[in-house]
Amino acid sequence: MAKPAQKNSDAYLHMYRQMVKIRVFEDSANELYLTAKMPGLTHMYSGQEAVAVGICEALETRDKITSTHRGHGHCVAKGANFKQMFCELLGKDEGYCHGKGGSMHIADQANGNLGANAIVGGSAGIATGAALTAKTLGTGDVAVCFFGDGALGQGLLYECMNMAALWDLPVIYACENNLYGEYTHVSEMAAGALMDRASAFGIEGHEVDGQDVLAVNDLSQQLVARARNGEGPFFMLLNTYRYHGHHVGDINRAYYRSKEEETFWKETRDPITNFGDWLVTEKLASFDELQALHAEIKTEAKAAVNYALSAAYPAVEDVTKHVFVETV
Amino acid sequence: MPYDVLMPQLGMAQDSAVIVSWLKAPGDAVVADDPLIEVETDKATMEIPAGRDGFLTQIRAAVGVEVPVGDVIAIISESADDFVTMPAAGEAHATPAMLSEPASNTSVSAKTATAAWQPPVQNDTSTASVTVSAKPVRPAKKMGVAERVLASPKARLAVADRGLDLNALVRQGAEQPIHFCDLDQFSTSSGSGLSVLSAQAEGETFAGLLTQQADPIATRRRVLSAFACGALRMAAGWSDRPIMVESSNLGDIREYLKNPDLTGVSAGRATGDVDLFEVDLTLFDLTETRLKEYRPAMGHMIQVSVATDTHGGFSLCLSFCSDVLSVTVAADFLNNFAMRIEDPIRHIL
Amino acid sequence: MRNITLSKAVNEALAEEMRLDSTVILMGEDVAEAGTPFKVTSGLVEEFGTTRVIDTPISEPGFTGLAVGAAMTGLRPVVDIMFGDFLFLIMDQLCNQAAKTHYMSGGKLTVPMVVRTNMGATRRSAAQHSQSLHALVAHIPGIKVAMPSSAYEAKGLMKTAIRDNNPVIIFEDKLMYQDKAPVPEQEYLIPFGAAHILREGSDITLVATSSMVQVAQAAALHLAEQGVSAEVIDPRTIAPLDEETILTSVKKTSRAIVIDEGHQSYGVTAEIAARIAEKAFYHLDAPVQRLGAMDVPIPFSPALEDLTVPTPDDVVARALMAMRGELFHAL
Repeated sequence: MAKPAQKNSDAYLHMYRQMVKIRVFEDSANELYLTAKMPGLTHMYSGQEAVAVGICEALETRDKITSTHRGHGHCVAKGANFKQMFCELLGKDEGYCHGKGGSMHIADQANGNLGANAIVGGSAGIATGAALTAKTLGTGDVAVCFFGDGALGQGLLYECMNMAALWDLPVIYACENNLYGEYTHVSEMAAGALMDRASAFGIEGHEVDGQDVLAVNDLSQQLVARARNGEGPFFMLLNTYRYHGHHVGDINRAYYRSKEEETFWKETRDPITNFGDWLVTEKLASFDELQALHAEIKTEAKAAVNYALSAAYPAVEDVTKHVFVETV
Repeated sequence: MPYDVLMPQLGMAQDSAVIVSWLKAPGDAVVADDPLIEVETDKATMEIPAGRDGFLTQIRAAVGVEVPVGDVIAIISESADDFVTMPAAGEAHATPAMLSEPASNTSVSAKTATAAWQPPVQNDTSTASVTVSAKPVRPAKKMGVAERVLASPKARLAVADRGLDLNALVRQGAEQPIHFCDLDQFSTSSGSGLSVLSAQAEGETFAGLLTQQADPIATRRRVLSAFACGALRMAAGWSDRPIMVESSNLGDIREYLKNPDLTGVSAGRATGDVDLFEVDLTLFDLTETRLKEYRPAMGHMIQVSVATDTHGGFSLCLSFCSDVLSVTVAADFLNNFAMRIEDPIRHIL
Repeated sequence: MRNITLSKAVNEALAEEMRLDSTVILMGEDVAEAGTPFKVTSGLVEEFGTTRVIDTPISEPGFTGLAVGAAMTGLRPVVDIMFGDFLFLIMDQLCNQAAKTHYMSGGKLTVPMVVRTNMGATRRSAAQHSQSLHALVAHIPGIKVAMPSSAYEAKGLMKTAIRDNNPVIIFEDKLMYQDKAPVPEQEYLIPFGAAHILREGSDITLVATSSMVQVAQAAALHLAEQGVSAEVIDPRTIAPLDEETILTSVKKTSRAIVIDEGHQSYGVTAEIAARIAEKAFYHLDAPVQRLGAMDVPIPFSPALEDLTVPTPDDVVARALMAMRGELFHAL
C-alpha cells in the first residue's frame, strides 16, 4: 500500500465500502445475467474497483465524469444507488434512465455522471466538452474521462487531448489499462509507450498502480486540485485488471489469457483484500467490522435486486417520449 | 442453503445449451471457480464454473440433453449429506421446462422469433396491441392487367361517388389513364354508357294464372325470373352454362335463384349465401309499384326491370353493356322474355 | 425593408443570440479572425472574444464531441462544419452521442447544440465539397434539421435553433450566401415544423427545400404563363416536417412534385413523396414525382455538374406532363 496522505478513518472506510459496493453490485449483475433474468448483456468492472473509487473519492458531486461500457463501477463510485441501477439494468421504469439506457448507458446527472458510453472512446469529446464549459463559465468543476486501453486506438481521443492541451482545460484522462481490449492484449493493439501519448501533446502524465486505492486517491487528489486551479489537463495511466471476460458471456478465455494470470491478480493483487488487510494492520478497522460491512452490502444488494425484479416496466406510451426535449 | 446451478446465458443470441460432460460427480466437493460442467452452444464448447463452494449434491440434466438458459442443472449444498442420486438418463430431462419443445438447431433472429428473454405481461398493454377488425375481407374480383381500366386514384374515387362506371367511360371513348377532369367530359354527356332496350307485353293470361296461386306476388316474381333466365339462355346460347339470377323489388326483397328456368319456381336463396360476382342477370320487379322502369347507371351484369302498366300489360326495360351482350342477342333476349310473359303456359310446361 | 445577404443574416442571428445569452459559443475551423471561408462569422470574435468564438484545430469529430459535452453541461455551442461533406466525419458524435443522449438518459440530459453547415452543388467544387447530406441526419431520431431558403429564413431559423434545447443542424446552401432578401431590422423567430406557402395555386403542389425553393418559384412563374397554377411550399425544417400543410395542399391540387438537392434515392424527396402517397392517395390525379440530385458523385466539370441538379425547366416539364396526364412511366 502506498503511504497515504493523512485522512480520518471514516474516509478510509468509505473508500473500502465503495469498493465492496462495486464488487457486490457486479456479482449480483453477473448472476442476473447468467440466470437469464437480465436482458441484453453487461461488462463487469470487478477487479478495477480501486481506480473508480480512488478517483471519484477525490471528486466533488458537481465534478463531471464520463464512463464506458464497463461503467457500473464509475457509476457506484460517483454516488449512484443500487435500486435505481438494478432497475436500469433490468429495463425498469424506476431505473436511472427509465429503462431506456440499460447497462451501457447509465447516466446519473445529479451526481455528475454524464453517462456510460457504448462507443469505445466515444465519451472523450463529452468529458473534454464538460471541461470547456467549466472553463468558459468559470465554474471550477473538473471533468474526468474514464476510458480503457482499447480507446487508445481511437482518433477522437487524441483530437480531444490536443484541444484540451491547447486550451488548458480542467480535464483528467484516466486510462484504465486492464491489459485487454475486448479479447486482445494491449501489446497487440497499442504501439509505443502508452505514456508517450500524453507527452506528445505536452500533457502531464502519471502512471499509477490501479490496484492500490490509496495511491490512486492520493494522485487524484493532487491532480484534481491542480486542474481546478487551471493547471490541467492531466493524463493518468492506471494499471489494473478485469477479473471477468470482456462481457459476462465471455467465459472461456484461455485463448487470450491464462487461468494462472487471472489467479495471480485475484489472489495477490485484489484491491479490496489488500486494502482491507491494510485497514486491519493500521487498526483502522477490525476484520469482523469489515466482514459485517460485506454482509450489510450484500443484504442491501439483494433487497435492491428483488425490488428491481418486481418493479414495473416503462409504460408502452413512453417509447416515443424523450426523443426530443418537449419544452423549449 | 442449497444453491441452484442454472444453465448460464453464454452468448447474446443463445437460449439453450447442450450438456457435453459433467466434470464433477455427485458428492464431490467443489470450489466456486472450479469447472463443473462442459456445455456446447451453437458456437463453442465451454466449461462452466460451479459458482459456489460446497458439494455437488444433485445433477439435474444428463449428458446430451439440450437445456434452456435459466433452468436448474445441478444443486450445490453445504453438506455432502444432501446427496441425491442422479436420475436415469431417460428421466434426466424430466423437469417441466425441459419437457417443452426442443430448441431448434437453426438460428433465428430475435426479430422473427420469440426471444429467449421476455418481459412479464404488463398490467395494461392495450395501447400497444393491434386491433384486428372482425369484418371479413372480401377478395377483390380478379382482373387481368389488360382488363383493368387505368385511372388516377382521384378519378377512381369520384367515379365511385357518382355511381359511374369506368368501363362505360372507356366505351364512350375516354383515353386511359382517366383523370379527374375526364369525368365531366364523358359522364354528363351520354349517361352511363349502358345500352337500353325496352319492350311491352300483354298480361292478361299471366294475371289469370296467378290468381290461382297462394302467394301471387312472390310467384309472379319467381316466374318472371324463370322466364328471363330461359329467354337469356336461349338468346345467348348458354345451354350448358349455369345462370344466376338476382331478383329484387328495389325494396326489402332480394333473392338469388340458380337456373330458375330449369329448376322450377321454388324460393331462392338469401343474399348472404351468394357471391355477388356470380350474378349474371338482375331482375327488378316493379310490378307492385307505380314505377315504370329502372336503368342502373353502372354494372357489368344484364339488368332488366319489369313493371305493369295501367292496362295490366308489362313494361320491360333491359340495360346492358355491349361488351357483355351484343345488341342482337339483347334484342332476341328481351323479345323472347316478352313472348314468354304473353304465353306463359307454353313455357311453364 | 432592407435587403441583406444570407451570409449577413446568419451573422446577425449569431450576434444577436450571443448578446442575449452568454452561454452561446461558436466553435469551428477558422470561425474567428478568418470568419470562415464564406465570411459568415466575420466580426464576431472582435465583439465576443476568443473565449466565445473559438478557432479549433482541424478535428471535426473532436470539436463536435466537445460541443456535445459542453451542451450537456450548460453551454449552448454553435458548431461550424466548414463543408457539409465533412458530416461523414462527425457522424458518431452527432448521431450516436448528441441525438441519443436525451433518450438514452430517460430525459435527464439535454444537448442544446447547433451544427451549422452547408450544402449545394454547381460551385465547381467536385465530389467532396458539393454534397447535400441532410437526409442522412434527418433519418436519425433526435436531431432537428433546418434548411433555410433565403436570408430571411436563415436568420429566423438560426435564432430558433440556438434557443432549441435539442441538437439542431442547419444546412445553408453555399451558393446562396451572397443572395439578398428583405430582412426586418426588428427581431423575429421562425418556428420549426411550420411550412411556408410562398405561392398559392390550384393545379399542382411544388414542395421544395433550400435553394430548390428558388427553382420551384421560377418554375411556377413559367407554369403560370402556360395557364397552370402552381402552389409552392417550403417545409423550412425537414425534421420536424409540417406534413399537414403539404397534405392539405396536395388534397387541393391533386398533383405534387417534390424538389430537393440531396441525391434522389432514399432521400428527402422520397420521404415526402411517400407520405403524400400514403396519406393523400385518393386525392391524387397524377403520380407524385421526385426531383433530386442525380445518383452520381458530383462531377467537377461544369459540363457535367450542371446536369446533376434539378432546374426550373425540369420542374416545368414534369409539371406539364402531370397536368396532361402524360406520366406513362407509372402505368
